[in-house]
Amino acid sequence: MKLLKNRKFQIILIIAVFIVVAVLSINRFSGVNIIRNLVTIPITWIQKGINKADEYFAQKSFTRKQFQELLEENKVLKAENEDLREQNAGMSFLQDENQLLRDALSLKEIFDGYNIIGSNIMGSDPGNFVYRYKIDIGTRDKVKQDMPVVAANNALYGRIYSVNYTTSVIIPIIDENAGISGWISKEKGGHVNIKGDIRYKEDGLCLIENVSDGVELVVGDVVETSGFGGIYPKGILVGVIVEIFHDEITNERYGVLEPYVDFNSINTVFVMMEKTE
Amino acid sequence: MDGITKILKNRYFIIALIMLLIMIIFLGKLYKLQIIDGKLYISQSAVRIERRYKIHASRGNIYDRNGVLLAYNRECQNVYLTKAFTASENLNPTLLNLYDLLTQNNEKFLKSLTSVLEYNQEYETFVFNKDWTSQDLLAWQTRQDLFARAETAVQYDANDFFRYLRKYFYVDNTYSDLDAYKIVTLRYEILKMRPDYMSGYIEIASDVSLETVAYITENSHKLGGVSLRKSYVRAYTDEAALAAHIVGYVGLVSDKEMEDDVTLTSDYMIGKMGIEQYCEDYLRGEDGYAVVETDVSGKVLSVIEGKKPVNGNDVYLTIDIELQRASLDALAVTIEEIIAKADGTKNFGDANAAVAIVIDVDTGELLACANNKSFDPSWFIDSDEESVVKRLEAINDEANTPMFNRAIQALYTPGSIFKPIVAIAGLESKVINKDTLIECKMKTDIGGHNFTCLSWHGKINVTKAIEQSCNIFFNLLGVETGIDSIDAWARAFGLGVKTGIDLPNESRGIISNKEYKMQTFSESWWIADTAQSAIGQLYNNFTPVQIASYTATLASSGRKYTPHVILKIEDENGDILFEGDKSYTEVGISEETDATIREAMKLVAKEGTASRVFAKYPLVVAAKTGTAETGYEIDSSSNGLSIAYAPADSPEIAACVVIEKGVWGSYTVPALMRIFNEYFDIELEEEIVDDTLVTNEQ
Repeated sequence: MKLLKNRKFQIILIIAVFIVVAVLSINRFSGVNIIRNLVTIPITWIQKGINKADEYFAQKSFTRKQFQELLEENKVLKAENEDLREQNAGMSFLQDENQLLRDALSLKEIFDGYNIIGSNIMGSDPGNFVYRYKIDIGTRDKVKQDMPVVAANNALYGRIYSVNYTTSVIIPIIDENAGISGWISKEKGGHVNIKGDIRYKEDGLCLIENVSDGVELVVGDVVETSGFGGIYPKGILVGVIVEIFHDEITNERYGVLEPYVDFNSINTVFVMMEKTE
Repeated sequence: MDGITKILKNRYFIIALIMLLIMIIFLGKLYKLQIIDGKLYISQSAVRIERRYKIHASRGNIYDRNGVLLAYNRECQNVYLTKAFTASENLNPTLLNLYDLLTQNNEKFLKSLTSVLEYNQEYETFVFNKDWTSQDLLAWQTRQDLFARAETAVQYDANDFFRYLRKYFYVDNTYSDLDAYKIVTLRYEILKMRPDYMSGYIEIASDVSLETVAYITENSHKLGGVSLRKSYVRAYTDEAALAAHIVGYVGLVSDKEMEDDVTLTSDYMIGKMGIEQYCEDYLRGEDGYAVVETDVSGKVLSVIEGKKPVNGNDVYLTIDIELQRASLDALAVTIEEIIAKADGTKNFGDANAAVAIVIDVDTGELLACANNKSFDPSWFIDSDEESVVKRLEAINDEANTPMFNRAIQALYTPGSIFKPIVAIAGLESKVINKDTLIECKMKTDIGGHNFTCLSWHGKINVTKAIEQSCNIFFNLLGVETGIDSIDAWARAFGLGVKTGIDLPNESRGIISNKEYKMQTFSESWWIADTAQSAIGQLYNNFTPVQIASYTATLASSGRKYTPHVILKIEDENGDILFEGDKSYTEVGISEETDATIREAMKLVAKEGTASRVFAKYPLVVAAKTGTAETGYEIDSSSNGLSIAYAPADSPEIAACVVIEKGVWGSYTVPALMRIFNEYFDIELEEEIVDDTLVTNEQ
């Protein structure tokens, strides 16, 4: 009981609780998404605060002499590093910029009627119980709601869900509120409806439903956007069918679609703006 | 100040301050999530709603006898509305969006309000349907299942009533009248089907385009409660239009049909004509249902339970669609030829509607049943403008009445094709034998009435009389035989009685006899009536299918089959549920009589009124022609009829052709020849019709 009344212990306990929550929330697809979504922003700040405090206390625990030596050593290394960084910085920036522009250009060549604007994913939007991703362009960059968002490999990522002045939120295709008019391009192919589905989004998959009798579904079929739905232009790769099943009662066929986009690894996406816009 | 500075520099205070700030932000976020948006998020994330919907059974297909597809089910996409448990203020924008989408894509969708209340965009005013009386408006507005207005609150001014509807359906003033009208139109449909809307789905549009499907799929976030589901609509092949009266068509169930069959609901499409109507119970199948779990927007998450529908059964017709096509072509060409011979005295060039029936003499199966005045069943299914126009034209075409199935409903005076019946009556009643001679002097007096013939035939026997179609012979024979005997034999051959064909709305026909005259005109029978009836005139009026069946019975030496168009009905596993009735009854003519009639009809084709066509025909045919006066001969041609069977000595098929205003029976015989050409696969190397041959035209 005495320990509980100890002020230091109290602080450490509170900090420990926050750290546990923060660690659990790091995995984007972990089971504590709701908590993670709720606390993403505050936790980030807490984490930063904790790090600073940790650094502060760590420094205090060093002897002054050790600290002085380390500072000297650090100065030398910093000087060396500065030279290298200066040489490298320009190169690295140009490489990144170049890659972004190359990707944008290649998409632009495919989608002639669109301006392709690259953007970085800042993180998941913590404001909801669903998967939303925030990017660093907004109305300032002429981004509007429902604009298609693709990855560099012409793979469909999602659409713009909401827009602020400098940022926008993307709803990815695996979200249960997402829908895509898809097309299977083969002899017995045709139109299919693709929907995000609550049962599959945890695995990063979508569902193909409402399949016409004339459309043959085969595992391995590539599905792209049909261009009929008014949001996504024709020809964006959506994914590949990985599973097919049938409901006996309704006599409906379904397909499970694995998107071409890996939502865990992509940091750069492209917003497609119709040239008239 | 020192105290404050000291506190501010205290590291525990700084940490506590930071923590406090974090907590404040945290609490603010929680407040927004839990208090401001909490209700919405809870509903979106946690609520799972059970809904139930009907799975319509797939209607059975209709094929011809060789498996040629005539009627089938075309897959389609339907748009459904269901109660979305999202923010209620989203409903009006959703409905407006949906209305605009469906209108823009020219979709057929429910908007029954427009039949009562219309918005005149030009004058920006509302008007009630001008055909609706005050009583109608009163009944409508006070209906308990709709607005349930008190009688005193009923509004007879359309603008006032619309204002009421805006309020009733929570359409605020931010919407223009036009947009509000669109919203109200769809909300009215929801009101009408509220139970289904709340616990299931209401079908708001059927058979929508790919563009509509794609738009709804991609814009589902703007269309909460709107969903798509695959369904099937009836469709007809081009070949079905060749046999439209047989195949029939389907239409939405009427109130009366729902009263008659409680299993029907207003969304059913049921047979309205032909086999579609006659075989409704076989074709319809048994609906299933699904109980599904949906999210708040109505999206199906899983099927909890249900019942698989049992699909309808397939009907195979006896009709050979290629022979049907050939029969129609034969009629068209023959009518053209008749019109080309117009002389303005007997032939007014007005040959028009026609029927040709081909029947298998060993089974009673109708191999062809061609009406040249017809329609396309697709007009009654498709909603495109052209189909709608053609449908209305067909329904309202009083001159040609293409919706009328002449083959089983129209009544035609048979004229001379009735003479074999009188001959059979005379022979079987021993009034004459095959050698008995009766003298034709071109005219005679019977019961104070003059009867005439087209030629002076002199003394002729029954065979010659049939070959030459001598009127006087049959006037006199009829009188000798008596109307009762003629009446009995005509009935035995199925004339003037329903054949029992497996199609709806068959006419009974009229047989000229004492009973009919008394019942209809309250007059006694005179001997002259018998003389007139004996040449197929007076009250005799038969349907083409009766005439065809009678011909087939002559061909099969008195075996009378029930004419039918259903070959078989199969379930989806291919098991046969029903087969056309191939049993027969014997009419009871003697071999001698049969031989006499057969011989006479062969002579008709060889030397008589059908000889221009069949004299040089590579197949021996037995035939008889008939010319039926209509009473309008002053400026209108008589009807022409002909019957035949072939091969004459071992018949396979019998056929009849009726051409309204076809002038002479003999003029219709080329149509028979063209039908036989198709059936027997005969290709004539040269023209065999000899128009120079002088024969009695009757």
